[in-house]
This record gives sequence, C-alpha cells and structure tokens, in this order.
Amino acid sequence: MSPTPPIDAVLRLEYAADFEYSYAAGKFASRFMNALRTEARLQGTRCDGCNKVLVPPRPVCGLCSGRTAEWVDVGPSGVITGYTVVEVPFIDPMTGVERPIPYGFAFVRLDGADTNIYHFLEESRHDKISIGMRITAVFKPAPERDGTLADIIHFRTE
Amino acid sequence: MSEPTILHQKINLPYRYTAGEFHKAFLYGLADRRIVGSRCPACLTVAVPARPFCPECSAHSGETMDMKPQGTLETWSTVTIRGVTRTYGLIRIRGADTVMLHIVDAEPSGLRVGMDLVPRWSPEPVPEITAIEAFRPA
Amino acid sequence: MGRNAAIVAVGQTDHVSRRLDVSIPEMVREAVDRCLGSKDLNSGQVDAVVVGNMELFEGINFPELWMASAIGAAGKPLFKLNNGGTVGASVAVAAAHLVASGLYDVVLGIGYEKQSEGETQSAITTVGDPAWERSVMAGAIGNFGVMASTYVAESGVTAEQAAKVAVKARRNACFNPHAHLQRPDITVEEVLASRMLAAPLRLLDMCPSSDGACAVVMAAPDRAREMTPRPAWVVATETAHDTQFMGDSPKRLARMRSLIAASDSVYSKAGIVHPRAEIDVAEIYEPASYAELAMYESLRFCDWGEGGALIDDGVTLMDGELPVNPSGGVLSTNPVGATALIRVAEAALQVMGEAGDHQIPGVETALATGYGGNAWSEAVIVKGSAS
Repeated sequence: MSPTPPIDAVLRLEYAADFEYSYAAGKFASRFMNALRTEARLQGTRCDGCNKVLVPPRPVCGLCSGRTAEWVDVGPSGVITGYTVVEVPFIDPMTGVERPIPYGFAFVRLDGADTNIYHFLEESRHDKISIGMRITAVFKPAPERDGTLADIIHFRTE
Repeated sequence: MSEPTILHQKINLPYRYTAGEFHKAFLYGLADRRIVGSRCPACLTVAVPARPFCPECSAHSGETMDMKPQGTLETWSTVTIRGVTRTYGLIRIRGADTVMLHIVDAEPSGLRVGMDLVPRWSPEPVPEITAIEAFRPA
Repeated sequence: MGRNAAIVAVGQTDHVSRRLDVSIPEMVREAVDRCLGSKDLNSGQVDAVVVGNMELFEGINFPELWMASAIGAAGKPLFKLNNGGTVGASVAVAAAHLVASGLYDVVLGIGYEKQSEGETQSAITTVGDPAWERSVMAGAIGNFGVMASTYVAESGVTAEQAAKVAVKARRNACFNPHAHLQRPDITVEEVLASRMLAAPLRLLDMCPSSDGACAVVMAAPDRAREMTPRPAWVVATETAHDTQFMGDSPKRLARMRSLIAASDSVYSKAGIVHPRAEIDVAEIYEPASYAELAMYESLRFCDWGEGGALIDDGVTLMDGELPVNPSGGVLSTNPVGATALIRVAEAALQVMGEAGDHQIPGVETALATGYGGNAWSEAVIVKGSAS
C-alpha cells in the first residue's frame, strides 16, 4: 500500500492493495488440469448417489452430497445453458487493470456432463447467442498450455 | 497421483480512504508540524491521534486540541526484517490518555521506559503519518 | 427459540453514492445514534453488538476493531459476520438468536458499507473460485446477466415486465427519506433505453452502489415492551445455502433453491399456508429487476412462470394486494453490508407502524429476505404480536 497525497479537501487517500497468494487447487482439479494440459482432454466425476456427472470434478456431489468415484470424459463440445455479454467496464481483480470488454460468457454444459462451467464465448454479440446453442472448446496449442482453465481459449459455435 | 496444480495469482484492488473530520484534523496538523488530539466532553479522556469517538466511553468527541510536540516512551520492540532494523515504540504524547505507535530513532540499548521523546519532522509537509519520520530522544 | 425476541428500534443513514464527509466509523455511528435515539435509548442499555459488512469492499481489515468506539462496543461482546450480501439479514438473525437463547437481553445489530471506498464489481469477482470461475466472472452484474438469461428462457418474462419492477422501486423510494435513488418521473421506456450492462440487464435494471449504514435494537420480551408500545416480534428465521459452483444449477434464479428452502421454512414456522394472502408486506433482497420477478415465484407469491403477471397486475405495488419493497428496495438503495438488514428493519418499521410516508396500513405480518453470492438466502418473518 502506498498512499498518495490527498485528492480533495476531505482527505481522501487513494491506494491499491495487492495480495499475492498461491492457491492449491486440490487433487481433483489437479487431475483435470493435467489432462487438459497434456491431452486437451476434459473430465468430470460421476456421483455414486445420483449418478450425475459433475464438472468441475470433485470428491463430493454438489447436487446430492454423495461421494464421487468414477472419472468420465466430457466435451469438448456442449451446449449453452445461460449467457451474457459483459459490456460494463470493471477492474479485473486478477490483474489490477480493466478487463477488455465486451466479452461473452456462458454456462457451458459439456456433452456427457450434468453440471455447467463458466467460460468465455468467442461470440460477443448477445443477439447472436442463445440458450441451447451448440458450442465447442477451442484449445491453446499444446506447447502454450499451462494446466489452467485458460488452456481453453473460449467456446465457439459449432 | 498427478502433479498438483498450484495457481500463483493475486487480488489487486484499488481503494479510496475517507479520513473524516477528526483524522483529517490530525493528518493536516502533521503537515503543519502540529500534533492534534481530541478531548471527550463526557469523561475528559484526551486521545492522540484525534478521533471522533472517545476510546473510553464512546461519546462523540467535542473538539480537537493542539498537543505539545513531545512525549514519553511507554514500551518498544526492535525488529529486523530483510536486513532492515527498526525500533517501534508506543509513545504517550504529553497530556494524552492514549499512546500512539511510531518509529523510535535511537540505539535500543539507550532506551528506557518513561524517557522523553520529540518528533523528527519530515521536510515534506504531507498530511500523512510519515510527516513525522520518527521520534527521537529529547 | 428459547424465548421471543423483538426489534424495538431502527436507524439508517441517508444513503447516497459517496459520503465524503465522514469516515466509515462516523457513518456507522450516524445509524446507531438514529436507532437508539428513535426510542430514547443509550448504548449503556446494549448488552452485545453484532456487526456485518462485505469482505474486500473497503481497504480495511478487522473493521469491527476500527469502529469499536463508534458503536459503543468496547468492553462488550462484539460479533462480526462476513457472509456476502446476505450479511445484514444474518446480523438480524444472529441478534435474534442471541436474545432468544437468553444470553443477552438487548443486542444492537449493525450493517454497513461504504462502496465509494472500493471497487464493488472487482471485489465481488473474487467470490469466484480461483481455478474455475474468477477469470470469467464479471462481478454481480455478469452473474445476474447469466442467471437472468436462464430465468427469461424458463419463464418467458419480458424486458417490459422487468422494467416495471425497476420503475416501482424508484417511485416507491420517493416516499422513503433514506432512499438513494428517488425518481418520481421514471418510466418503463427510460429503463428499456438505458445502457446495456450485461444482457439482458440494463443500467436501470440494476441496484445502485451506495454508502450507508443501518442499525436495529433487538430485545427480550420484557425489555421490548418497556422500550416501545408495538415491538416487531421476530417469529421465524431461516438461512439456506445453494451449491458451491455457480454452474451446478443454472436455474439458480429461475428456481432459487436457497430462497425456496429458507422461505418454506419460515412459512412453516410462522404457520403461513398462503403467503400472498397472509403476508401483509414484503421487503425482499432484489439486486436486479429480473431477480425480483424470479423471487416472487420462489417465495410462492405466485405459480412458476407467473412473476411477470404479478407485476403486470399491480399485485406488488404500494397499494396492491401484497406490496413488495415499499421502501424502494435494493434497486433504490444498496450499501451492500447494510442492505439485507435494511430489509429486516423496513419490515419491522411496517409492523411497528413507523414507516412514515411508505407505511402500508394495518401491517400485522411482514416478510424480509437477504440474498448473497447467488448462493445464500435468509428469510425472516416479523409480526405485531408474539404468539
């Protein structure tokens, strides 16, 4: 934090707080991210209780709190189940600067999955997007992949 | 067992801090080389830095008051972080019922509880706590 | 609950975009002074304090310490809650539980936010999971855009129907001296012409960003009756969560699992079978116009898909069968950490008969809700009698 001189008579100080951290994504996310990085392969876990396939994969079902056991392949295509196009400027807390707008983002239900992930859409005109639209993942080239969800650049219309 | 995914990220957020009347009086006082406190009209507690509410009884502070720019050392600790050694002290400004935290510019071996200190003012007249660079033995 | 608890006093600041004249503790103190002053109480009568706000909205860590003197908490039990937009309602519920359990007779509950001191949309974006959501999420606005798209698909609700909610809120706010956005002349056309933020949400479909604070005094039965002639008895409270990941349930707004669970529970506890007929007024946490219509459905004010018809029919207007947010609601005033407490406080004012120009006549039963992070709902029923 580095205060700068006051900007008005009531003494309002402007500063930035920059918190750096290392986030351990956990066993399930690690397996997903490694398969994404090495094979451009997407996977979920199936719940023993309700049989639903969950993406993100995880040890306990978000829908029925049952245990998951089996890993299953999902995607790379899927369907839009909800969407918007962000047109309002805001500071990206992950960078400290404004995130480029407009951008489309959606709930993506990957083929074979019963839950949805948030991801970017290639399309950023909201009247060109609809619920139920088929889309497919666009992966970064293998050498550029680093084992994060950003290894999928975005989803484009099939 | 796959290689663990560790995400090295940050949260970077801008903030704006509004000081309010009493903290403003204290901070602008520093820019003017004055130390400003406040007195509780209910229980007469004198607080430095000046603040809007009494630390003892929570009443609204009545008014600010200029303090003598001198104080006494209540306690201290010497800390070395990444090769930089500093002594932090709790300093009671003369006439105050509270203590304030600041840097003490003196050899730790020469410090004792109750010793008189005076501010070493920064050449920069800024309305910030750094307008006092440190307190030093009187 | 072990014994009854009642709200006896309410205080709010006059909510605005930027309070440059006061620090956070000074702003909070205004609400506390107004609250205690409304019933000629003093902080010496308060046994414990509960305070809540949003994390990362202001650049302050340990805010309860910063404001201990401002809220008269030094030397007393002081509890802090930080559970997102729901927090204000959780403050009220925690205060009610502290009194109902018999631990304390008089508890001061406080919610506040000074949104002008930080970047709300950026701070809310950090709610997203670091590995799965954060890099895509765009604050509350982006999330509600996605949620609203699913609600529109599910219910067929129109932009005009949503705009009517936005108009109702800002017109109602004209009768509330504390409200932030007061717009007697606002029209549906103006809402529909306002800037697109995140489809289908336009600027006037969203809540504002406010600086403000709210405080309530919660008291045990004997103390409550001493303090005010008509306390607002907290007869039922509930809190309920949704799943961890936003995408686990894309119908989070169209079928609000957490709000359904919380409201069904308080209806059952309060013996309410037909909410629309038996609730006299509701103060609900509607962060976006579309959300209010969706909430009508999850609160069982109407059948699934009928939220739009309810506003078309004027049921939830100030003079309708079940007025919703006569205060102007979140769409008019949103100091986030205070917002859900304002819902409970406004419901209490209606029951106490102290809501002034936005008083609904003859309120016996009022519902308040809190909502946060697309994940958590809180519901509270207050009544004019403790039975």
